[in-house]
Amino acid sequence: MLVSILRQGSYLIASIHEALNDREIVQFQQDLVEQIGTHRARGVIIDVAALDVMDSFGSRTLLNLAHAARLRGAETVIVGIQPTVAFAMVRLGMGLDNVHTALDLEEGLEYLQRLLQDPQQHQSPR
Amino acid sequence: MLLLRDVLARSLFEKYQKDFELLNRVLDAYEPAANRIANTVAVSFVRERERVIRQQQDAIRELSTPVLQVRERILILPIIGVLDEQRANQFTEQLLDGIRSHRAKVVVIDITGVPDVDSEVANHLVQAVDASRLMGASVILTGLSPEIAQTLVTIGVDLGKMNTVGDLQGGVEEAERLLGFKVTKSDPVENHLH
Repeated sequence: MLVSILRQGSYLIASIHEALNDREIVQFQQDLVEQIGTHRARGVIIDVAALDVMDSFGSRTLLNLAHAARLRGAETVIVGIQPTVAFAMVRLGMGLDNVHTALDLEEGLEYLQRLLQDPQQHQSPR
Repeated sequence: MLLLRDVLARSLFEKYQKDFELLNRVLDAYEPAANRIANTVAVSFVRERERVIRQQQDAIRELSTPVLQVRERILILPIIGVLDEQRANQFTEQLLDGIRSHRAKVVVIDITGVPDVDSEVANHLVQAVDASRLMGASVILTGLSPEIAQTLVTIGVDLGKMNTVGDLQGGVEEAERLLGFKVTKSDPVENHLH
């Protein structure tokens, strides 16, 4: 099991346990977007803390996932990006613009809660 | 060292002046030995100095970018001195590691002590700020001197999406505001007012 998708209230928590290849990450994207519908999730948290590398395809897929999730009615927060990964991503010019990010799972849940209470923030992720 | 070598050589010349054959043989033995001594001394001297310099550089590097927590989840990173590429890299590393280990939400980067900023360093700062955002922390940049502010505008670095505040005090206040801290002034403690 490379990715586990758990349901917690109206949120889905997907944690990626090891590096995914391109095919697996696309599969993950499809699974998650589908499950948003079946569970009627309002928020999605993707935990990437276990990843110590992230390529451009990976981050672009996460970005697409977030946008697709929004179209399905759920906000996405990506949590647990490692320091080295964060800097490498910015260096390669693939910052996750227009995606919500948080330090860890706890922060992510808190962030989602605030976000969904106050729809004002929908437009402008920090 | 070389002087000693010459003095010794001269005394050998004087001693064996009469017997040319013997002088030649003595010099054959003497010169490599003397050269080796000189060489060893010179090399170890240079090595020792290099070691000291490296040690000092490490010390400066470690001292130069402290990560300080001022309130729960607020960090201050003062940068002092010239930021070259290596220091900028190290700074970013400490910033991001600090965000993770202190679970920071707001980071105030104070560059009052930076005399000059070029486009490379400015871009590096922008990247560091973006990377911090990926880790869920927002950055406030403070202490841009008038010169640096004008340089940045002239070379066209986009600091538009950066949150900048005039000085460190303002930066800390802004950070407190973002996290909902309220500082109120009450009556001062008597004992401290001499």
